[in-house]
Amino acid sequence: MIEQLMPSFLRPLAAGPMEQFEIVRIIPLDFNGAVDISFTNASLWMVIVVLSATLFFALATRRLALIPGGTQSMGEVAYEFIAKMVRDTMGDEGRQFFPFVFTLFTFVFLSNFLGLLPSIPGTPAAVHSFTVTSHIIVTFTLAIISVGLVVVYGLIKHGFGFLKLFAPSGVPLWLLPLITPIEIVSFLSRPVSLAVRLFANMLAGHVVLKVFAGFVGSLLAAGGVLSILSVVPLIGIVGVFLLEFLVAFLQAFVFAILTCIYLQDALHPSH
Amino acid sequence: MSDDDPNRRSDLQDFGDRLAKARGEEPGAKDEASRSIGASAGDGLRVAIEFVVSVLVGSGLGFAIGGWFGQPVVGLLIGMPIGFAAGLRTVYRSMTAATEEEDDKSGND
Repeated sequence: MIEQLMPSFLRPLAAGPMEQFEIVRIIPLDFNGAVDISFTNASLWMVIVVLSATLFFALATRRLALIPGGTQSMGEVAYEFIAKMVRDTMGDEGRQFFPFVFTLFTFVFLSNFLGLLPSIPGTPAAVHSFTVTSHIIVTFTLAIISVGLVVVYGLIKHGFGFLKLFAPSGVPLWLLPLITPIEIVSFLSRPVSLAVRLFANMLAGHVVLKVFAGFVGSLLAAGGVLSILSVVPLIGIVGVFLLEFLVAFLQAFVFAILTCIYLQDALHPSH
Repeated sequence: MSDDDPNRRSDLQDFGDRLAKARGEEPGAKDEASRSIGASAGDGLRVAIEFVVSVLVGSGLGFAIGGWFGQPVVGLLIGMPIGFAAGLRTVYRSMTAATEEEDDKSGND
């Protein structure tokens, strides 16, 4: 097909748009098919994300000055941004959740952001750049941790009073059998919508980028006037890439702020 | 250098005052502009996903509980409207929160 017509340097552009999401085992740790805890490219990129976050904040807090330098101001901006968000949504009581929300935000943001880095051409698939948040199991795990924290903290702090969350105040008694299942379904759909939103945004963005890149390769390989036209999807890629930068930040922000809103329920179950 | 140094303290105080003043004047205009496109689009998409997910979770839960009693279809038929109602409730709640926020803002100005 068209792949054979392409010069070798264009061939990577013909890879399918979903190939970038493939999980590749780097260190196989498969116990007779029962438990598979292999170290994969997803694991590798999670490690990269955690290490770069640690490195960044270690550098940012290494030499604290009253008038901050470049790295320190970036660290301070990130800190203040999340601190303000936690304070605005949960008030002073929410301060105890700040470390959790900050970690969550940093992890999601850096995963989205580092996933946008282009892969180094010619390297094996295992070390190609990879967006861990484009896999629903990762985002769902994060969402379950958030909602799990809400449930555990709510039950510890309020005991059975936490269940008031499912029986809003001011609802007449005869309506409760109807309202309670609705509230329960509404509560149970939170982790799912939290997970689906982040995963779908990252997946869709990367697929669009890859599809546009495929257009560039095919048009160049077609030759003649069509080769000149390949500039059009190339400009498109630049546009989509800039949009993806915005989405990377926006989705991390949305994930963190929704976690704050849900945690607010754990602090004050009756709304 | 110690924090007790009175000169340093007044410097800090002065710096803090100037910082607060500079911050106090700025945010209003910036907030409005950033809200208009990015945040509104985000809100819209958020609500849409929440609604669809609520319907799916309600239906799935109904199907599972119904299946437990040997009547998956009946469960699905009960679960779907509950999911639909839960979706509406989520949308309503998000929209009320958004409107209240807007009201607060216009009230302050």
